[in-house]
Amino acid sequence: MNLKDIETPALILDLDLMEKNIRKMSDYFRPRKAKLRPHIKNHKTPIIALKEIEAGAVGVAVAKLEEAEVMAYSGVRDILIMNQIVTEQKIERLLGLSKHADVVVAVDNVENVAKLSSMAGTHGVKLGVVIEVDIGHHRAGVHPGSEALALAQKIISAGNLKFRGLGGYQGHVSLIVDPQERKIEDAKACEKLVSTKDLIEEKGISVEVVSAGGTGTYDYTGNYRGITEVQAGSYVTMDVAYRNCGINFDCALSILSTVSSVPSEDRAILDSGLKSVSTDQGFPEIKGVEGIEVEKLSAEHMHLKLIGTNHTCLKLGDKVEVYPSDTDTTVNLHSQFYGVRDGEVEVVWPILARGKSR
Amino acid sequence: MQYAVETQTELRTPVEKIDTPALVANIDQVERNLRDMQDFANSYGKKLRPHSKTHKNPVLAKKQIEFGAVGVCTQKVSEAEVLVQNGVKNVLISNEIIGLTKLRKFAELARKATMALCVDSVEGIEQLRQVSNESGQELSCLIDVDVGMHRCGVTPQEAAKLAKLASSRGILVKGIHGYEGHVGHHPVSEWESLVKESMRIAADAKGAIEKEGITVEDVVAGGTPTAKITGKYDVVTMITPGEYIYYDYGHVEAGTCRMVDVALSVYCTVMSKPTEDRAVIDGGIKTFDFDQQEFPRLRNQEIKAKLISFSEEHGVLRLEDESARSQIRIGDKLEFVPYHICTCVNMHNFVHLERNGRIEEILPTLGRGMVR
Repeated sequence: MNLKDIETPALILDLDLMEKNIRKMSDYFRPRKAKLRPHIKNHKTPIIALKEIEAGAVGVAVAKLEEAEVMAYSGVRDILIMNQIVTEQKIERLLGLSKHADVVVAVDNVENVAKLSSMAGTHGVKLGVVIEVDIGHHRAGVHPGSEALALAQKIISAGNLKFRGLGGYQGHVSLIVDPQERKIEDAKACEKLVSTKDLIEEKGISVEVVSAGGTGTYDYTGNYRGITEVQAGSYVTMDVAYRNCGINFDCALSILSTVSSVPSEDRAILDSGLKSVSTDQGFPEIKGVEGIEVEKLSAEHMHLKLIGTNHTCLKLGDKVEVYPSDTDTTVNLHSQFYGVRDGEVEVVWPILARGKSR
Repeated sequence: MQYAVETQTELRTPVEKIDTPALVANIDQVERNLRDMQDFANSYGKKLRPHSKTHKNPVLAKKQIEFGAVGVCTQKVSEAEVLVQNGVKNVLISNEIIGLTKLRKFAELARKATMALCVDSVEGIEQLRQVSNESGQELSCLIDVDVGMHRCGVTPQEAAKLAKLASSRGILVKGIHGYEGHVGHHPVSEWESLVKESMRIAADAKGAIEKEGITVEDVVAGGTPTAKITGKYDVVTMITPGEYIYYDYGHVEAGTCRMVDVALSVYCTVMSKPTEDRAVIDGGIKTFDFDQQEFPRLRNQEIKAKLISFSEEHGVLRLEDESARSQIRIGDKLEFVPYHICTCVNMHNFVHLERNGRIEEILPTLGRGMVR
């Protein structure tokens, strides 16, 4: 099927560009000490995760237990849940899963450590954990330094947990537009994590994993002394927000849309609205057509303003592609990817972890 | 299979034990909201055709019809397919549908249910005619009139021309669609006068079409914010509110409903409390959406805690007084009222229906992701 015959709105993945992005990222990490652990929040699709692993990634990072389940039951072995699992109901599920995959979970609290350990004991499981350290994002995580050390000691004495190392996410840095400033801020964040590692190791505790970073900082974090893993995710499909920060990957993902109304000569409406393309990082961009401004989005409509003199550039029924500002939240709106090569649909991939927010 | 697993583990669970994030609708409040809007429509002699965009759920669409609605609206052909396949018999696609593939699906649906869609262009009508000829069916449309929203839709004069063209092509013109969706985005004090202007345009369009000798059976308008204003106009025969089934905090803020009228909550769990005054919940943009750049609110407004930032899967709560700082602990479940209900529901695979504190039913949101 030709690209232009796909019914719209549809999530289009340019397979050549996606493969190029995967190659480029794996080429970057191949000679380095730090390895790639892609975060699957971006694509939520096992086949893409498996391609990243085939290219050299050590495993995946996920935000949710249900995402970990989808990945594990599709053949991914090494999974870091970069989040806290605190309720007994979820801990039960986590421990069950840990018998079928190498799962590591992030902790930032003493009582949670005690609960995980006692339940792991009941299940006869030795559960791997990393300590989440707040490296400046001020979301979850313990303070760097002595607070992390104290928690590491608790983990070791808890009995049924295996202390694997540290994780942090400099989400406050990834979208800083100026690369110089981004590099400086990234170094500050990484240093908080690595100095914590040093402190813990001084006490004779081995810190095997130091995991951090994202697409916005992959090269800075990946080169930082002591970092062992980088959790870049969005690079695979890439988006406008990261492109505007000068991150050098190709935008492989677009939303194929149809002009559904041309109410006046300077306005046009597309059939892709907020339920087809997210706006949390700003409005989408129209691919390859000049003189079009996105004015606003309603739930199922995108309002376009046709600027300049060329009012006839869009006709009713025309198909256009739209680049999302944020691919993570856009992919999550859809049920499938259309994988396209040279303008022809090669595969249709279900987005198996879509809506898996538990 | 996934549905079976969910129902097995969570049916009859007390709501405070539910795994999170979870969409939970209080079924008694849903029924009160449906009754209230139906009573309004009945008292003014109007037809109610709720918009299913809010719940995207055939079971709830059928419930609305049981309460007296004539049918429902959708925005997309694929949403309409889900409804018709699951037993809904009357669907208006309150949107322009362009492209023969989609229109053929629409014609297929028209064999099984009473269907209509909106048109606002010559091309749209010609495509509909082609499909009507191919399938040997009479297809129905509403002429979409721009009553001030400036999205789709035509002027009253253009509406008359399109109605005439459609009739001459064998398309049944059922009336006009004049959605005043812009009004809700203005200050409440302006709503009455803006609706008045919109309904004047709708009346002009009706008059212009009738001058061509075409009967305008229905004048369709009225979203949730203004349904009870628009629905009082004589010219209007049918209102199409959607959000009223659940409402949301945006409506509380605008005064269209009270907090107790909001029938849906999102339950989240506190999964981290890194400092005394900061707690982190397991819901963010992928749980609530953030299209209005407004955070959801705690259902219990006595707890002085406010969401101050979202990532995809995290929400950061600032604990604003001593009692919130000591009360809110890791593992606690908190009940939030979404700011914008339609995009929030669309994030989830299921809605849990709760009655008297227990999960009574778990419905898959079958229209989720149906954007075609």
